[in-house]
Order: sequence, then structure tokens, then C-alpha cells
Amino acid sequence: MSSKEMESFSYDDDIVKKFAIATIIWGAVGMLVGVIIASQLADWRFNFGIEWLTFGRLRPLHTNAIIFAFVGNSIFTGIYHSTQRLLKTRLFSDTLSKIHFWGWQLIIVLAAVTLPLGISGSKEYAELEWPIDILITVIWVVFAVNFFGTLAKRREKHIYVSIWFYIASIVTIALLHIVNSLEIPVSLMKSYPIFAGVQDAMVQWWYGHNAVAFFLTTPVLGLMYYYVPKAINRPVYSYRLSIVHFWSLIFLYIWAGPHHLLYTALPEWAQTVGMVFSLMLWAPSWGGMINGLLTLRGAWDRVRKEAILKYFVTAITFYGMSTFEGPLLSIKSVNSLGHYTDWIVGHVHGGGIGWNYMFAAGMLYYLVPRLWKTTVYSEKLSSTQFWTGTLGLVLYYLSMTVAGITQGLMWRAIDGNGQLVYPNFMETVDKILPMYWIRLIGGLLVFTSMLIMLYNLFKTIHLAKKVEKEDVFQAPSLDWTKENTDKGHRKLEGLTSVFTVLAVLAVLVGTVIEFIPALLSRDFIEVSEKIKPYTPLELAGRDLYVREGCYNCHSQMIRPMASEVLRYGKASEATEFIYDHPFQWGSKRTGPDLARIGGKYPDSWHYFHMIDPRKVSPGSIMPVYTWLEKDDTEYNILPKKLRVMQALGVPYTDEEVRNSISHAKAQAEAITRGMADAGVSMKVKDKQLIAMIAYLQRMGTDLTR
Amino acid sequence: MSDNNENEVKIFDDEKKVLLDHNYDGIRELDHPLPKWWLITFAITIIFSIPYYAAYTFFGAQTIDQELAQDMKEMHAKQAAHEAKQGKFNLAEYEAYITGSKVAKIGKKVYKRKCKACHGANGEGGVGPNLTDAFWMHGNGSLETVYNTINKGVVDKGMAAWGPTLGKEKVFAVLKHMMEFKGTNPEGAKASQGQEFN
Repeated sequence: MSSKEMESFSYDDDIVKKFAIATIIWGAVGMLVGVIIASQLADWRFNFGIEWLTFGRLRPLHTNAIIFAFVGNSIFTGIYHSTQRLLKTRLFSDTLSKIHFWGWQLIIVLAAVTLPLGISGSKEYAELEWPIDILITVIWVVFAVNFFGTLAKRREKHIYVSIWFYIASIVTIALLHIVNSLEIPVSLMKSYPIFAGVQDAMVQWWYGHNAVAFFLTTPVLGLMYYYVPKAINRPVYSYRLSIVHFWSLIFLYIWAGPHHLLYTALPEWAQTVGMVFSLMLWAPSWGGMINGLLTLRGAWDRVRKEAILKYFVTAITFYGMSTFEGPLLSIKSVNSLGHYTDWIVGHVHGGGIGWNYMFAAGMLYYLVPRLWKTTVYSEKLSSTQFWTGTLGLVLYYLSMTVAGITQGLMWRAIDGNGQLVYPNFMETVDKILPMYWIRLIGGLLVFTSMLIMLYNLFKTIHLAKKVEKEDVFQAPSLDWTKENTDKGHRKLEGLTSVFTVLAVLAVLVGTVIEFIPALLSRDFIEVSEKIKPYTPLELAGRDLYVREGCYNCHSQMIRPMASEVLRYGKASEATEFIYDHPFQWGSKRTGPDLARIGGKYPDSWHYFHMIDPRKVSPGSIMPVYTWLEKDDTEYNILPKKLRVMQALGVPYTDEEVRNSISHAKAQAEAITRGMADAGVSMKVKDKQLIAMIAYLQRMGTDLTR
Repeated sequence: MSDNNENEVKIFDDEKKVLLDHNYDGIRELDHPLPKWWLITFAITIIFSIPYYAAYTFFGAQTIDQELAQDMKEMHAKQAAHEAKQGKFNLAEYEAYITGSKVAKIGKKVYKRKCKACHGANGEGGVGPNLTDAFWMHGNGSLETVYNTINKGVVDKGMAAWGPTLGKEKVFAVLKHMMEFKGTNPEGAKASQGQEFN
């Protein structure tokens, strides 16, 4: 220690308390939305015919609420609490902390309002529209300044492994969010992304995959390195392992995004990159698990007795399971079975509930009594919560895995005559409906466990005595003039700027190597002359498809596999999507693929199907879209939309832009007239349903015409 | 220093030789070597990945498209063989089948599940054409042409090929059921489409 005088300081725990309370509340809200949408898959009537409550609009709210509101607030809680203690200093600025807190809550409220209204960019986990995207950027910068400012005034020379993870997470999330949100506004609440088709898909899943990595995984690993040794008073198992798995994890993670696009129209070399980097990620991911579990040496008997440790052990175990299943699902042949099925839904909930929720619960049970200087209201409730949540998780995970593998096998089953065994998609849905009910029960149990925590912790807080003053601590200030005699990684731990730059470089290498050919090369996609831009009415319909979140249940990507070609037609090609801002490939098939739906049925089939799917598709679990028949198509904004598309490189002529309104009206009239035979009235010609039909009938027809 | 490490960190004797002098808010670190099985796993994934990537990207291992082309060739061969075996519509076979006692029941059930949605409960038409009149769009309304339409569909007009789903016998049964609509004039009948055949 330096001979310098001791300095006195206190920690800002008020902000930690605020984030902790927000975590508990948003966790309950996010899970409630999850239960609602789970019920809608078991029985389509559970949206009560209300457009704001349909699966397509609420599913993005569920994912955003869980990722950014629940886990987001939980990592801010833990980062602000542990960073101050690990660096022996108060946070850089109380004001910035408050702006961060209230700004983040504002973003969540805006998401909760806009997503049910159908204001969505349709990029998964990044659905929020451009004004909110800008707000997120601003608040994230506030967080970063506050965090790095705290680093700068630290009283601990070396930064602990938790801080490494926080640094990597903060800089990478900024990069991911900004690049994936590059979009041009059409109006206050509508924009088109600058990338289209294959490129848009690649950017999106680079983002989507790494949001899982750098929002749900690395910050929480950082928290694990603080709270697990703290809770059990045991030393971390291996410092060397921390170094190796930290750097290999952040370097390798960023490459693996294309495993979300295996067997799509993405060029095969990029798919292969995604697969092999996912395999190589297995060991670095398990490095964290090993360091977590082996730190528990000699403390296993306490796991039986202490709820906090139960949560931590379960969390780390599920982290290990998910990070094994992830690489497994990235192997091409396994992926060909699992992709678009509920297996993936099970996989993400193994991570989301098993790792993130369980860890957050353990951390909150550690933190809340300490922050409010009291003891937990009921140990028994805490244990009841644990068992309820674990049972729910197991039911959820197993039912979805079984449903996914069953349906995947049915989709691909071909008989000896070269024909699909289950050509009717509905048959494969019928088969797994019981699993949707079991999943609902599992989800309800997890939600109940969350409510138990909400009650238990609020009761704890309520019964706590008011804390008047902040505790004061003492530590010597750092002597920056002293020569740095450390060697190797230890030296780096004292040089936070260099450390940060290296972390940025580690994530940039994979990003740049994957993107440069994808975004710059003209040969990346073979462009076919046959592919033409959408007509104005089709574009309007496409925006409705985006608004309703159809991509949440329908893919637009016929994979190059025999069973897919037999079921849906010619495999999708990259060139077909060059005007798709944004791409709509989807990631889940609750309903069939729609890439070549165009022309497959008469217009009137779609008309009746959207109003009541069961009328033409018996047994369907799709919700009704009656409002599309009541609301008018917004013609006036079409010239603006075409202009923006023109700016993005879609070859509309100026004349087409000028005539877009009259062209759209004429097309709508023609479509409506064509359905007169089937009893459709001309009165609906300017309704949104007609625009939707125009889009659906265009889809996938250019290449095969 | 720490405000919340109520207990001392517990360190076992055998750990003392790997204990580092690091202390962060009371957290201590050991410096155990990397577990061997872990290192080997990591090495295997890397050693596998490099030649795997090279084989598929540079050295001509079968691409996804090539694999698809091969699979489709196989499927088409199987389908052709099946069609050759099943043969064309055989009137005698049909007439023999429809004398069965359960045919009416099967035909009714299949019609309700697969056809009713587009052609109406009584063949009056809706999304699809009216089946009760003498007008036909694909063929002349003979048993053979209607059989072919059900069997192979009119895929570009939205009529699915039901042959593979239903199998020959169920197609016979539903054909029999449909033929009974002829000449009825159900409520809400759709205007005639196609050409008239008598």
C-alpha cells in the first residue's frame, strides 16, 4: 500500500436500490407478458380479438421487457454496486446515475406503449423505432461515461475480472446497437433500415446473437465473479482461467452470429464461419462455468441450506447447459432439424430463466438485505420461490424441446414415394398443441415464483428501518507516479484504457472480417434481372406485415433441403431479397413459411383467412385480423416511403414516386373487383386488408414467374 | 475495508500455494492451472474447425446446393416410379371401391375436413368454384378429369394436390361424395365459372 494519506468516501447505494426495485417490477411485468403470449399459442382466443394484444405485437414486448428491462436493470444494479466496491470509489457522478436510471425506465415505458401499437422495426430484440433508438444510444453513452469516469477515479490499481467483463459488455453493446439501428426515418414512428435482404439479416443476427452474448452473458459473468465468491467467502478458483476464458470468449463470440442463418440464402462460407466459431465457443463459455462451480469447493453443504447458493448453482448449471446446447444447435445437421421449431424457444428459455432469472434472484437475495441493512423477510418463501421456479423451468424446457424435435421430424418426413408424410402443416401443429399447454403451466409457475420474490423482497424493504446516513469508508488514493512494475496481463489490469482498446479490437476483428465482404462486395449476391421493387400498394402491405409482427410466427426463407422444396417450392435465393428493407426471414415457424405464398391461393382465400383463419384453414391457431378490414390504407405517405426507398438504392423512378398514390388505388381496386365473385364488397377496396393481400400475392413470385 | 464480508474468506491448506496476493473488496483469487480436459476440449474444437472450414470453402466438399440437387433428383425418381405404379384413373376400380359400405361416411368426412373451407358445405362454392352446376374450369366434369383435379390439384390457382395427402381410396370416396352435389341448387350458390358441359 502506498504511504499516502487515507481518503474517506461513501458509496452511492441509493442508485443501486432504485435499479434493484426496477428489476423486480419489470421482471414480473416481462414474465406476465410471456404468460399471456404462451396462452395465445395454446388457444388463439386469448388475445380477446384486441389488436394490441396479438402474439405478433406482444412477443417483441416480452423479449424486450425480459432482456432490456428485467436483465438490463439487474445488471445495472449489480454493476453499480460491485464496481464501486471493486474500485474503492463512489460512482463518477450521482447525476449521471440518475439520468441513466430514469432514462432507461423511460425507454422501457416507451417500448411498452409503442410495441403493442405495432410501432416496430421488426428486427428481433431491436424492434424499437428510431426516436427510441436514439434515446437508447444517449442513455448508453451516459452509462459508459459514468462507468469509465468511475474507473478513472479508482483507488484500486488493478481491475478485477468482473470489471473486464463490464468493460467488454459496455463497448460492444454500443457498437451492436448503433450499427443494427442504422435506418432512415419515413415519419416520426417509421423508418427503413439502410441494409436490405441478406446484408440486413447478417447485421441483425450479428446483433441478435451478440445481444445474447454481451447483454445476457458477459455482464452476468462479471456479476458472477463478484457475487458468488462474496456469498460463499471462497477464493475464485483460477485467475489464469479467468484471463484465458475472458479473452477467448469475447474474441470468438462476435463471429458466431451466422449460426442463426444456417441453411438460408446467406452465402455458405459465412454460414460455415458461424458454425465453426460456435463450436470453438463451447470451451471458453465453460471456462466461466468451471470458475463458478469450482469456487464452491468446500461449500456444497451450504447449497442445501441457503437459498442464495441454490440460485447461483442452478444459474451456473443452466449456463453450462445452454452454452453446450448452443454449439450443438450450431452444427449444420442438428440445426437443420431444430431451426424454426420450439426447440430454439426451449433453448433460449433455458438460458433466460435458468441462467438470467436464477442469477438475478440470487443476486437480489444477496443485495436487498444488505442494501436496506436488514434480513430477508422469509427464508421459507425464498426457498418456495426457488422450487416453484425450477419446476416451471423444467416443464417449460422439456415441453418445448419435445415439441420442437417432434415438429422438426414431421416437417422433414418423406416417404418411399418421394412425398411428404405430413404435407398439411396443420397436422404438425395439432401434434404439439398439448406441449403448448404444458409450456403455459411451466410459464405460469415461473411467473408465480417471480411474484413470490416480489412479495418477499418488498416486504423485506418495507420492514427495514430507514437508513439515515451513508457508511463512510477509507482507502489510500492511488499513487499514479509510481512506476508500473507489473508484468504480462497483470500490467494490463492497471492500464484500463489499453485494456478497453484491446477489448474493442477483440470484437472488431470478427465483425470486420465477416462484414467487409458482405457489405462491400458486388459479388456477394448474384443479382437477377427478374427481381423488381414492390408496387406502392405491396409496399404498404409489407409495412402492415411488419406492423403486425407476422415474422414472429412465419418465416420467409425456404431452406435448400428436399423436404422444404417439396412443401414450399423452389428454395429461396439471396437475390430475391435485395429490395427488402427490412428483411423478413423470421426465426420461428409457428405457421408455415410464406416465402412463396404469392399466387398459391386466390385473393379471396387470403381475404377470408385474415378475417377468420379457421374458415379456410380448419384447426388453425392464427389470431383473427378483423381490424385490417376496418382501417383504411394510408395512401398519403406512399410518395414519402418510395422516396426513402429510392435513397436506399431501390430503383423507383421519379415518375413512380409521383404516381404512387394513384397506382396503389388502382391496384387495390383491381384486387377488390377480382374478389367480387367470392362475395367481397367493393366498399373494402381502400382497407388495409387489400394492401396486405397485394403484398402476400407478390411474395416470392418474381423468380419463379 | 469491505462493507459486507461478514466472514473471513476460507482457504484450504492445499490452496495456499496457488493463492495470489490479489484482494478486491475481500475477494481472493487462486491460480489453479487450466483444467486439462478443458484445454483438450478447446483444442479439439479448434483443430476440427480449421480443416472443416477449408474443406467446405476451398477444397470442394459438397455444397448445400449440390446436396439439394442430388436429393431432389432422388425424390423426382421416386415420385415418377410411384406415379407409374399407381397408374391412371381406372373406372372399374373406382366403381368396385364405391360399393363399399363405409365409402359414403369416409367421403363425407374427408369433404368436411379438406374441401368444405373453399367449396362450401354443400358444394355451393366460396373461395373455390361451385361444384353443383354443370360448369367446369379444369376438364369437362367427367369422373376422370375431376379425379385428376383432386389428385394433382391446380396448384397455381390455390387448389392443393390432395392425392399424396389422402391416398387413392380417400380420393375415390370424396369424388363419390362430390358427384352427389351435381344438379342440386344449394342456398348461396356461387355464380357459375368455366365452361358448360352436359
